[in-house]
Amino acid sequence: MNDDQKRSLEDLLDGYFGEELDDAGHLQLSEVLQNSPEARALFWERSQLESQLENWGQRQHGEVIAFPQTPRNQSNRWRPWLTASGWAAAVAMGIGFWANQSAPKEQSVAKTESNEPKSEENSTSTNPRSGNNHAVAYLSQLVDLESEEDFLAGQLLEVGREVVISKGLMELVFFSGAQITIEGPARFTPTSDMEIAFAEGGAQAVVPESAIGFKMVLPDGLVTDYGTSFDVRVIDGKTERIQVIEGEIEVSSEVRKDEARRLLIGDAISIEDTGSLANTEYKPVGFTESIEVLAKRSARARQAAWLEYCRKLDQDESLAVHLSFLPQESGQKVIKNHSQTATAPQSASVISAKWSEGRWPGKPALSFHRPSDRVRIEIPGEFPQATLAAWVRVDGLPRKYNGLFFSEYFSEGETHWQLSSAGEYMFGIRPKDSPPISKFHRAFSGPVLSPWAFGSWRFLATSFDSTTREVVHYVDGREVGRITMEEAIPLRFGRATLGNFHDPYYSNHDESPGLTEEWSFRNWTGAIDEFLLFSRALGSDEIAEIFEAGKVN
Amino acid sequence: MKPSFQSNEEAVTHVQELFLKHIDEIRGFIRAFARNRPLADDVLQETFLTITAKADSFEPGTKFPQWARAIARFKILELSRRDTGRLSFLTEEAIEVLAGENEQPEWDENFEPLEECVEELPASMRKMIDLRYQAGRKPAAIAEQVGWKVEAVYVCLSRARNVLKDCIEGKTTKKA
Repeated sequence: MNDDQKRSLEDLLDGYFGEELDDAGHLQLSEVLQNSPEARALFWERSQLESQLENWGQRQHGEVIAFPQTPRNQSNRWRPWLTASGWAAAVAMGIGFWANQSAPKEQSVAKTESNEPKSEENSTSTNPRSGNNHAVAYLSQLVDLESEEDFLAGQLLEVGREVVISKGLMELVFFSGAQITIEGPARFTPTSDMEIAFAEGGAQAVVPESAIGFKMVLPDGLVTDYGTSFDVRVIDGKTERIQVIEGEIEVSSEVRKDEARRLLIGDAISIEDTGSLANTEYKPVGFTESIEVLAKRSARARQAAWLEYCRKLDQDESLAVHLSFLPQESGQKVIKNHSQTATAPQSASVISAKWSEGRWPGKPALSFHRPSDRVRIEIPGEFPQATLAAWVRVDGLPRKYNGLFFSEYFSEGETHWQLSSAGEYMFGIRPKDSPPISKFHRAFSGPVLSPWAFGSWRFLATSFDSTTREVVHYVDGREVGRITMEEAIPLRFGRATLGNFHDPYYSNHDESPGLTEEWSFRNWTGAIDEFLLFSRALGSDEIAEIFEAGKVN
Repeated sequence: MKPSFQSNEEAVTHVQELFLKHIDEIRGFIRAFARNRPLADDVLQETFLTITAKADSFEPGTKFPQWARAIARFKILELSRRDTGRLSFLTEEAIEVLAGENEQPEWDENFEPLEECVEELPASMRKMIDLRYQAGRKPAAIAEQVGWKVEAVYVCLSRARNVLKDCIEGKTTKKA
């Protein structure tokens, strides 16, 4: 390649990588690349540098999630991250965020009718959960938690995110592998995947090999853990006790930073006002019982309470379908409609969706992530009023339409209940006498599910009333959207599908302009562990009650 | 005897772990052909979904990036065929040749040399790099912002990239 050709190629590459090359330029560049191996080598060299610079740019923004490295010590504690849902959540987070977008914020205030997803740039937010910081830990367990804010097991915590709890236990797993159990009342802030600022409360840290050097910044001192475990108690800004349960730590006080002390198993100290580290009595246990035992007990109690509530709920005359997924149904291909008042349907069929764990240990759920995964159910009759509700785990919203529930395709009163990739409810009804591919009557919400809580169990519900034409959307028992549709007819479900969309005419649609895979493939990504369909529009109190009865912890 | 998995779930977990391990490389491959960012995002997600769906067909022990790139290439070709002219692609033939085996160089996982080299750039070049790769502005938009002709922006970016390339080479050969 001579100099002129090289220069010409570089100009073409500049235009191509800068997205400013016209059609003629694309053709020219294509021809050169096809014919010249040297040009191709230059192309790839340039392409790699461009990608590396893009990744650099995103790291500056803090938008690239530090994915956990494949752990060398595969203890039980890592298993949550090894499940498909955990990775899917991580991927959904990491790849949905290019430089000009920010994380959609969850809204608990009703929004007015919207047909198009609203851009996040418009909303100001006092929510400390900003999309511009990167996540460094996740909440693996909560027990008897009391706090001004709502926390969900499975949610991510980002750098600088202050957490205040007044009671209960919270277990954090940092991406480095460090695991911190915190007892309220407490206040803390994760500052990186290897550091936490701990301002108040009780904490126990377990630091495996992958996280050696993990730091806990106290109001009056600093602890560095060289493996494996220590606990700490800070009251009113003073460190009353640091003790080593196993392994070795280094402690220094804020006042006397240079006088660091190494402590070994069985050592216990407090930090004095003068900055000296005073020996104190070692107390055998930090918390009354391990958080795992407490969490199990709490889960059993919640599940028992929910079962009790279900027995009552299943007597409701207006409950048409209740797929409860009880423990004895796990592994079955046919699941039962537990409503005691409905004559039909008696059951639903599981097609390729896999059985997995639901909201509590021992409670099964169906997980959906392949285009084939679905549950089919035949629901007769017409519904002038209805409420659709489900306990779901959102592992991602990769599709344009992420399907929760769909009526039989191309039927009168066909109903679509789905979430957009931005986390908005999309409820729609087929207009009367419309052709197969039609725009539906819509009742969309603003973004109501944030990627920060992917992997956690949520209660989704939507009520519909054809006489008032009102649709109300709820998340976790709280109203998040109220829309009056321009037209509304009674709903019909027929041979309906849960967790997916059944388009029997897929091959025909190839010819339709604008219809791509994203129109046809609408499988849910995540899990569903309960589904309810009522033949009336429930009020917000009732929905809140169902949420309370079935909530995870 | 090649290792095999007990269940499909294990296969899925395995390929998803590998996907995330090699995500920078896979994304880099896709970006070479899909210059429109939302599109590249979609292809990356679709590739993830497909590798999950086809988890059983991946032979553990073989090269994962190769397998994933083949799937990504298929998606890109699909899209380029369906495109009505709104997005721009290289021709199918060019994509096929470029995506062939042995065409792409080894992917360098280590981003430290690049980070250091960017810090060492002179201020004016650093500003250009920030605007282009951190703020994600296209050269025409940068030209408007700084009051230059767009050709001047291209030249400055080109020079900055050359400086970075030399600097990175220097740092990596030093380590070798």
